[in-house]
Amino acid sequence: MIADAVYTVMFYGFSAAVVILALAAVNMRQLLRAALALMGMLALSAALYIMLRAEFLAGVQILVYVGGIVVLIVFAIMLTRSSELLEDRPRTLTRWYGGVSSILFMLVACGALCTTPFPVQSDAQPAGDEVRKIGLALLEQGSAGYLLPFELISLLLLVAVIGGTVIARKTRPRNQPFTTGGDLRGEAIVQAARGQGDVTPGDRHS
Amino acid sequence: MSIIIPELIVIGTAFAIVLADLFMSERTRVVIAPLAALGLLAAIAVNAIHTPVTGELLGGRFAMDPVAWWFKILFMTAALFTVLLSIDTLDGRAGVRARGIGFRGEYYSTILFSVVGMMFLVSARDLATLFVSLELATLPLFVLAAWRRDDPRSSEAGLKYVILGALAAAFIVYGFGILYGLAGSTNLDVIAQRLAGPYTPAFLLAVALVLAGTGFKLTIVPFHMWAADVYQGAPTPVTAYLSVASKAAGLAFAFQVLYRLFGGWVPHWGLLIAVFAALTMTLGNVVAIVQHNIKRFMAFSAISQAGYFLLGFLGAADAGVPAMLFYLLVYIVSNLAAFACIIWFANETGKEHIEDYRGLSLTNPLMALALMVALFSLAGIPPLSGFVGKFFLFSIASQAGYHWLVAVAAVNSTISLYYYLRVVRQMYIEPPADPAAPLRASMSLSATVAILSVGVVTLGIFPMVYDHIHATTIAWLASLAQG
Repeated sequence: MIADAVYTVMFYGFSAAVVILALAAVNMRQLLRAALALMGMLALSAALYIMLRAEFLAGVQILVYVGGIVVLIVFAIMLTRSSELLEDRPRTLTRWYGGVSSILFMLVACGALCTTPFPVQSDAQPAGDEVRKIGLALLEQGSAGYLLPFELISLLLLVAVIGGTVIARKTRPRNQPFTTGGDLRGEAIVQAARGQGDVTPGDRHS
Repeated sequence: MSIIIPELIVIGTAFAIVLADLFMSERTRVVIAPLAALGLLAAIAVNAIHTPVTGELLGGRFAMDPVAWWFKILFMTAALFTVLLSIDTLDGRAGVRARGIGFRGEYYSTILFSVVGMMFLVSARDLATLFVSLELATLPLFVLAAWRRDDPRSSEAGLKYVILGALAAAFIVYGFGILYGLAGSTNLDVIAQRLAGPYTPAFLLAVALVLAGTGFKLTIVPFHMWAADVYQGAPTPVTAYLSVASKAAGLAFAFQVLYRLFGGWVPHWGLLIAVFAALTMTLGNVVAIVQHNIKRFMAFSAISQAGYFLLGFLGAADAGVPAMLFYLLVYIVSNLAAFACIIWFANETGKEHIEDYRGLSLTNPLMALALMVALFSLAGIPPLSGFVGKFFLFSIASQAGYHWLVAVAAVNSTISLYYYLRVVRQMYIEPPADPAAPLRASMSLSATVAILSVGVVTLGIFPMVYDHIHATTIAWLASLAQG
């Protein structure tokens, strides 16, 4: 009885905190604070997952989102001067437009989800080996398995890494030869071939 | 096992390129593009000759059917021609070299990975594979749009594309989540069976979200706003790839969603689809009239073409599916032919305004002819393939009773003829700016343009292609009805 009440209070408390932190993450003027609010919001939604007995999801949420993505965002904010970029406020009309449309979307979504009876799975009591089951399902080749999307994600991550390196790689703005685009070793070769080898190989960062 | 071999060949080629690029000097990297083209050619050949048109793998999670078979050939063909058209730009064999474009190994492997995503997309049979392969198909496009890193417009294109693409992905995955919650399964056919019944509010929400995401991929008005800036800012070969492959992937995704997932509902949504088709055609065509940049112009032309594709969803599936597949083939060939000339012109002169094309019929008559034929095909002038493709789509809408829509489409075709003729007028009537110095085309580019132009002309004259598409897709529809 008391345990149920505590559970309910905690659940709604976490939910309210998640909503407040999410609003803070969107509305904070300083990027670093927004990132921290985002981190808190993600960690608290992991708490919600634990209360709903989805331990694996909670673990992934902490590992990937809190530990990985937010840390990456924080690094990106600190290594660049992006805190100075958000000085200009969006116009009032834009803010109203965005606010009204997102509130409308929230009302429609909440209304639709609340009025629809979702089928509830009968076996509500978890057996305790969900993580093992999920792991096996990710590698199973049969009709119950998710081997294909699991392997496709590895390709997705690879192409994201390749694309990220291409876009983020150091570029020299001038004297850049046509094909190498920042590949300074190739640049040296091409320029030497053109007979104007003014690039010292020492200043490359590869 | 043999149904997945084309995918494995493309993946293997992509890995071979990434690895080979590591150990190559800048000079020897010229072999990368032929390697990519060979890999795609081998995969097309294996798919066309060796692969059966039906089959399942991984317990039904990966399935081949006639429609997927055609889509895979179209995806790989689009990628093959994109690779062939990129060679001159990336190797710097151009009159005016594009600055800041490079990383040949990464460039070609990124294109190949995107093709792999599209191929798995059309073979997917559950929500997880469908979503992951859609991302694998589109994420490389974001990167490719931003490939010219010292060009602010290219970076802007990449940024706009990635933000709006993430929004569309969020819509789609939210909708998928609700569908999974309602049906309790990730299998597309099982979801379609379990949700057959009266509408529930959550189901409608999921439908709206998924369709909005699909509209983004297909550049349906009002989800088209990314297209113009991305097309203009991206490197020209990438724009060519975006305009055909991304549209083909969007159509494949629409097929999966509208025929497999919501197959029972689509006949009731005819009016909705018709309104979106009319909006898309009209806005794309009207805005295209006032464009000066030819890439932006082609972007709005591509938006209006997406409206014509939607006509195919109005009629019975046994007429709509072959008509849309055939028009997709025609559109890919015609649009790539037009872009081949645009890429060539940008390589030679570094200019991309419509007014810059004046006097092209004197400086390079054959290229001007190829561009004119491609544009006329896009406009739907009778002997060319574009006319035949549009004719099938219009007749479907007419048979379904949407006569007002056919009238709108016919008016739009006339408008499109006007703005395509603007380019032709510059090429053939206006005198050249400078004393006409002949512009030359490289061997590979001339050959590509020649092949594509032959396709533009012959696809409409010889009916075998359409007959073949029609015959094979009927079997697909029969299997869909059973499943």
